[in-house]
Amino acid sequence: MSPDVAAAVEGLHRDGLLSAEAARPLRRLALGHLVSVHAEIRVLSYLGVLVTVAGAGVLLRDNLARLGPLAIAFGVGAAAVSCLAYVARQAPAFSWGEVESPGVAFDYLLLLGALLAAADLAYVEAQFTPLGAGWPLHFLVVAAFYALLALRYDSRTLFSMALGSFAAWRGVSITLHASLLFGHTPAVLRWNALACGAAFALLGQALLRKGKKAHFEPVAVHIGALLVLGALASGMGLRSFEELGFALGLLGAGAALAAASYRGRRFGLFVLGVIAAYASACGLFFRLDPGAEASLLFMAVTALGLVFALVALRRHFKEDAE
Amino acid sequence: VTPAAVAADRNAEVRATARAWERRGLIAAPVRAALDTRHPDDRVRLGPALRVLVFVMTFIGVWAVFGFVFAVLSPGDGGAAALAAVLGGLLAALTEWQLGPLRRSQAGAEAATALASALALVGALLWLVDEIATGRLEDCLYWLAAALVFAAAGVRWGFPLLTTFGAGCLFGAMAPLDGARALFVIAGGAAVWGGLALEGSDAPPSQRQAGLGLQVVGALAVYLALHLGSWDAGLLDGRALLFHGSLSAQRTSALRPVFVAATAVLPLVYLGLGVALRRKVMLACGAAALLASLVTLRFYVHVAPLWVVLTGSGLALMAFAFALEWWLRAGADEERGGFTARPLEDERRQQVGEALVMAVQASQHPERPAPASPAFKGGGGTYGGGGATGEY
Repeated sequence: MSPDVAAAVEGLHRDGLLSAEAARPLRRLALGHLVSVHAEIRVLSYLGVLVTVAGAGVLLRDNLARLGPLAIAFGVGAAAVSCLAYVARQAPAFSWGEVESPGVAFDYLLLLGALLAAADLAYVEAQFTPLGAGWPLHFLVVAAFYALLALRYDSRTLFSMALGSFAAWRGVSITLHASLLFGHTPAVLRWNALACGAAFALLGQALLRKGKKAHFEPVAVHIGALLVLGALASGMGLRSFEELGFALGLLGAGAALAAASYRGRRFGLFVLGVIAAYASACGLFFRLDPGAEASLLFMAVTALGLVFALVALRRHFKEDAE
Repeated sequence: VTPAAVAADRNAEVRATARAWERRGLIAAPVRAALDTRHPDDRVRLGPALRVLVFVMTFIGVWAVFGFVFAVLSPGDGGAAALAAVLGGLLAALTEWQLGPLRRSQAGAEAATALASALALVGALLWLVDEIATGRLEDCLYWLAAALVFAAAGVRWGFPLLTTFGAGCLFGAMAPLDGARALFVIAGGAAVWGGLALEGSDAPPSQRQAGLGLQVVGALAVYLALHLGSWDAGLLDGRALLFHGSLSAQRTSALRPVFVAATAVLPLVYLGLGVALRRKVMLACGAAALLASLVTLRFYVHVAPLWVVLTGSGLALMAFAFALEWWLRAGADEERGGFTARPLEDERRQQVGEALVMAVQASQHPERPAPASPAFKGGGGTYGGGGATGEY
């Protein structure tokens, strides 16, 4: 609701730049006589999915003895299949480009079906152990399932969940196997996360270059960048050469990400890179144990210096401010 | 807020709306260009991502300066309060300078200095209150000082969030008083009414946005005062009852049915206001209050097993959302009673929401299966090979 916008629309109409038919709905919007509840419907649907899946989780946890594992597995599986069957019936034809969603019900029943199917798979694996010692593989199966659904039904949400499940597969597998082989998992986990992050970023680039689901690229690159920077941040320190290497790696990776995204006008990634580089620089300085005064002075000078630099460079960023 | 800043805010609102409408295909590029030309920008602004970065870095830098001076001077409590007052004053001047001669708006730094200034001044005032008052008066004055500083900062510099903080703190000042429950209802109702009036007025955009915050704070205060759980727990009836007194008096009080009814009816009142006036904030307050009332019902009455309640509620929510969308789209011009399910708002805000959803979902993954199989039991040497112990 904005009287200023209504007045602006009125001005355009008065000067003949907007016809009466075109001005009428805009005036209604500006004065709050027509209100869109599109976002609210999506939020309600999303909450509904989360609460339903939480209920299914409690059912799986608490009712094993009463209902029996087979009944529960079939029940949840049937619910998942019902959701996905609706989605399959409503789905538009496949395209490598962006496909408009048929509606809110389509989006959220797809999400609900995918989550219920994954929960059911986890339950089956826990109860009947078909994968035996290789149980972490079920994360990979879930990742592949999510990825298939994401590609077929053009869902960036499911694509992000596929990448998350893939990373979970690597993490859980390494935790189990590396601890048996090497006894020290954090370092191996870190290298795995780095490799996963780099692979996701490359996947994003490949999708963009090939023009196949190119709009998935930001999802892959953002998750990849978060994984790489998170892995480097978790290993930084000054106690060993390896820790120092991670700290310097975070500084370098953050700076490189900031530089690359600055050129590509990708402001979210730019901010991520700057924060990573700044955190690394602060971490390196603090590890020198310079004392409270010097640490605070360092933070003040670097933070405010960065602000001055960003404000001075603002003309080059040209990020849409409104 | 200076007249020049108000004019700039009004122009910015027109340009932002025009951009959103163009993205949604409601107006053509030439119309948007005409609106941009008629409502020019004379402020220094940054985009959302850089604005957040500049805000965070300025905030860190300012408090690091304060911490450095504090560490060097090592003043006592009084000295720290004086230092906070001086810092608050300096930052207030810096904010004025940025909003005035530097013509900054939505640039991050001016918001950071404004917030830091308010926090520093509140800190100094808290020390002062601690020196001059005790007991309940001290509690009231703490909150009152915070309310005054935040509200003054929000109104002066045009930051609706600070104004909303101020309004919230005002209720904090009422909480220790006798009759706090009645005060909450009266002041909360007034805040809702004032917020609705402000939102619908031709006040500057920042004040209209502050009206939204007032609605939220007021609706929350009234709900808190009339909620059954708050009555039963003795909340707002003084510390003695809450921590030392018997709650049985509350439970057997003749007034209790009033709170039972209010807990059920208030969400519907909020929703009714939202629908009748077409105000989305009241709709959101009504939905949140309805959720809280349903949780309260579950707390007092064991209607069904948890999984049934959760699954049923989730499915009901989804069914309601899908039916609402279908019903609205089936209306003439895809609208009914001034509501539509068509996406007409700023696409970028929606994308931010979707990005948050993705971030949440990316952090979730199916539960790690419980080690139900003997193959997963440690200690038996059944897992791994080459001398592995099977423990993990």
